[in-house]
Amino acid sequence: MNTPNPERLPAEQILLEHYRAHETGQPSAELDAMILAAAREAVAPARPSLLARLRDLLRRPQRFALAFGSLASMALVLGLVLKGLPQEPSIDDRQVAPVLREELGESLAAKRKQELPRTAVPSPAPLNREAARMSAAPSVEALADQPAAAEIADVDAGYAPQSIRKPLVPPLISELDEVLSEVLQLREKGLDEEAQQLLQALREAHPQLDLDARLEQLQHPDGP
Amino acid sequence: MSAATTDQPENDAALLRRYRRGDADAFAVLYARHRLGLFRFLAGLCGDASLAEEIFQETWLSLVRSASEQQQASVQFRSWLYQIARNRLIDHWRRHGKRQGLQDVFDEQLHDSPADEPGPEQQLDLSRDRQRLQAALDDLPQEQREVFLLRAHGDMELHEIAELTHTPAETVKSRLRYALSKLRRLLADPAPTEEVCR
Repeated sequence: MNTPNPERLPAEQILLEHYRAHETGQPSAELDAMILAAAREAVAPARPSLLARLRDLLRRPQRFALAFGSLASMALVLGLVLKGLPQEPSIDDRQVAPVLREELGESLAAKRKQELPRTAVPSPAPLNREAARMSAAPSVEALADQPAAAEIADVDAGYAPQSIRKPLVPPLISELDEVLSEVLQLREKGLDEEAQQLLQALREAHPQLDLDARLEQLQHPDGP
Repeated sequence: MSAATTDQPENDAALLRRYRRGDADAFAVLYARHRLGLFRFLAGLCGDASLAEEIFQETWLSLVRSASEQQQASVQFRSWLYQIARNRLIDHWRRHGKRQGLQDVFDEQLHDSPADEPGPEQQLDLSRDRQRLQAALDDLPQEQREVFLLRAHGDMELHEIAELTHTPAETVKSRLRYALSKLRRLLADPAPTEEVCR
C-alpha cells in the first residue's frame, strides 16, 4: 500500500518512510476476528423459515406426488386388511334376514315345547310373557307411558333380549283399553249394570291396577 | 499485456462488489489491505488507542451493514473508507463536547506559526525515535496532523485529501508542507526539547 511515490519529493518520502517504520500500533486480534466474523455473517445465506421451506417443498412436484402416492397406498392397504378380518355374527342384529329370523323363532318354540313338561314354572316364552307382565305391572299409567313400559319390560331381562321385549308392551295396553272402551260404550248405551259387571270382573282379575284412572283418561283423552 | 493485467491485484471497488454479492473472502482481502493504515490514521489523529479501536470497529461495521456500493466511480474505496472513519471520529468528539480543530475555519496565520513550545508532558523522555515522532506529531495543529496522517497512512494524493477533508487543494498542500517542515526540524534537532526537560 505505502509504496514509494516517485512524484513526491525525496525528503518527504524519506520522512514518511521513517515515520511508517516507527509506527507499531495495530488493531487487536480479537477486533480483527470480530469484524471479519460480522462481515461473513452479513453475507451468509439466511436459513429459510418453516413457511418458506414448506412452499419450496410444494413447488417440487415429484416429491409432492411421491408423498401423496405413499399416503394413498397406505390407506388402501389398511382398508383391505380391515375388510379381510373375520366378523362375529350377532343374533341381536336387527339386519338379520326375515327368513333366518323365522327359522330362529321356530327352533326356539320347539325347544320350549320340549322343556315345558319338565319344568314346574312355565318358561317365559313370548306367549306367556304378556300375562307375567300384567301381574307385575304396578299401574295402568305406567303401562301407558312408554318409559314406564320399558321399566316393566326390564323384569324380563333374564330371558328376552331388549329388541324383542319392547314391541310386546303396546298390545297389552291396547287390550286393556279395549275392555275399558267396552265399559264406556255400555255406559253410553245405558247399560250401566252390564258395564259395572265387566269393570268389576276386570278389577278382580287385576286388583293392582288403577282401572278407574285409566277409564277417566280414555273418557277424556284431551283432559289434564 | 493481459498477463500483466491478471498479475495486478484486484482493485478495491471490484472486491467490494464481490463482497456485496456474498463473497466474504473479498472482504477479508479488503480488510487486510486497509486495516493497518486506517487504524494508525485514527490512532495518530485522536491520540487514544482505545478510541481508535472503537472508531475503527464502527467504521468497518458500518461498511458491512451498508448495502451500498461505492457511490461514485471517481472516488476510490480508500478515500471512502477514511471518510467514514473521519466522520465517525468527528461525531464522537461532538457527542463528548470536545472542541476539534478539524472543522475550524482554516487560518493560514495559525499554520504559518506552528507552536514553538511543546507541552511539558510531551517533552519527557524523548530519547527514542518513536516517542519523538509521536510527540512531534502531537505538537502539530490538528489540520496539519490530519493531512500528514492521510498522506502517511492512507498514501493519498493531495487532491484526494482535499476532497476528503472538503478543503481547497492549495490549503492541503500548505498544511502538508508545514507539517513536514516541523517534523523534520524536531527529528533532526531534539536539543530544544531536551533543554526544556532539564
